[in-house]
Amino acid sequence: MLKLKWLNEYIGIPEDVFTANSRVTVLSYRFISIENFKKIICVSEDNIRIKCKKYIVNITGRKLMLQNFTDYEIRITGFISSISYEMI
Amino acid sequence: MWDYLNMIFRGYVTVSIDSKISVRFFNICRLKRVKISGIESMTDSDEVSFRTSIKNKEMLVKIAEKTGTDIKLEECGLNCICRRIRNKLVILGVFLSVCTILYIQNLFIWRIEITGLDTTGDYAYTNEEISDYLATCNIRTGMLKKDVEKEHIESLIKEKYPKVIWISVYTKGTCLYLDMEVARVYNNYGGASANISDVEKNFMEYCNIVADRDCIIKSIITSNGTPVVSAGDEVSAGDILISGSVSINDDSGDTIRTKQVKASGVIYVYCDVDYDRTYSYSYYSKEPSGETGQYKSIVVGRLRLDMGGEPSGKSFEKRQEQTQVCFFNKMYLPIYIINNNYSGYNLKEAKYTEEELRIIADSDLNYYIDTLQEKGVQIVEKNVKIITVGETLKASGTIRVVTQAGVPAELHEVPATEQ
Repeated sequence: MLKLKWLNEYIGIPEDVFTANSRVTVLSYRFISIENFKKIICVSEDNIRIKCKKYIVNITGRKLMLQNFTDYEIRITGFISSISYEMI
Repeated sequence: MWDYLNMIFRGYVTVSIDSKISVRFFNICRLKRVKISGIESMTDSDEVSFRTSIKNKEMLVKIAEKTGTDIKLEECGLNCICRRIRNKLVILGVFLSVCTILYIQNLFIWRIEITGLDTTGDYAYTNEEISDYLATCNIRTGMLKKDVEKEHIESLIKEKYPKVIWISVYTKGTCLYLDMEVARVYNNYGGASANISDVEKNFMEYCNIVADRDCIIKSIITSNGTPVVSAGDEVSAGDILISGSVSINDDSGDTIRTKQVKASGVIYVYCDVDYDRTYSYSYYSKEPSGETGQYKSIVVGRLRLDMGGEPSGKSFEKRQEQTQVCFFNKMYLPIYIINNNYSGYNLKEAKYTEEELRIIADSDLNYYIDTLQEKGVQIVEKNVKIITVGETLKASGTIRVVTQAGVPAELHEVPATEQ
């Protein structure tokens, strides 16, 4: 763990490159991308819940929908009002 | 972007599934590494549709079986469209190929037609003769249309065949047309000749009229020049009939000067035409063997494909009808369809009776006389005897005819002299 911290602090390599941590990217209030997700828990127009390694990302809003996904990334569009994390 | 283009070109599947189990379905897809895009909820039904690559089609069916849901698959993309209209594409391809071939063929000359040749006159040229000459000048079927230089062809023909007084060269479709007019000067016995313009060209200024054969003068009417002979005179070939030198006399009858003119006039002469034919009593007759047949051949360029043939080792009469493939009336192609008809025969030696052979000899003589008369020759006397000589019948003698004679001949230019 120390080594990873060292790489991050001294060399500047982002932590998600060498760990399995999820990366959540939010673009304005219309688009959200989650990398390294585990599974989709729930999908509805108002709420989408995505399970990651250490937490569940809870997205609420209007007209939410999955745009596309691959085995490591999921993209969600719609009018996002809030993003919350539930630690597992 | 690359994924999108890849899907469009390689084809993709639009999948519709029940929205209730969509989450489980998507999770399994993620585990199976199936890429999914364009996820949409259907407004009119409780379904979710999405797109994925066509290579995942089987995998999706397995996942649907596993999740126990109905799945609707619709193949889309360029690849699928091509597959769907494959038959139509083949037809389109054939059509385009035919159009391309026709266009390429249309760039060449595949037929040369020569018209207007007079085959009855002295200066008769045949189509084959002119075609062969043009071929030696690299003007032949198979040449590019853009290489056809009409003026060049006209000059070639006029240079080689001076009796061609007019020629028109043009192309229509893949056919090269040569329309020509030949000076109509008949043979020695065709006195009624008209267009001797080319002959006269050489003697535009001064000329004599000389005899072109041994003959006896019947009548002479001089329109220009001085007559040298009179009716009843016997002349040899080359003798001057009308002189191009005209003497101008004064009142006392003395010649004061001589003028050179272009001699002209109408001269009718008696001359004898030799007739000599020999007929053999024995001949070979062809007796049909009853063996007939026909087959077709296709000739494409230098390739010939016979769809049949005659039995070997026997004698056959063969008749061929050749048809050149032609589109739109004037667009000829280098493809010939030949219809071969053959009929077998056996040769048998036979003999004419004297009566039969005399009839043949008589009809030949009459045909010869008719041909002369058609050319404007008047028959005066017929001294042809038909006699049997050994194993042959001989028709020989002379035919006395009245014909127009005299051809222009060179007159050495002598400047008019004052005496």
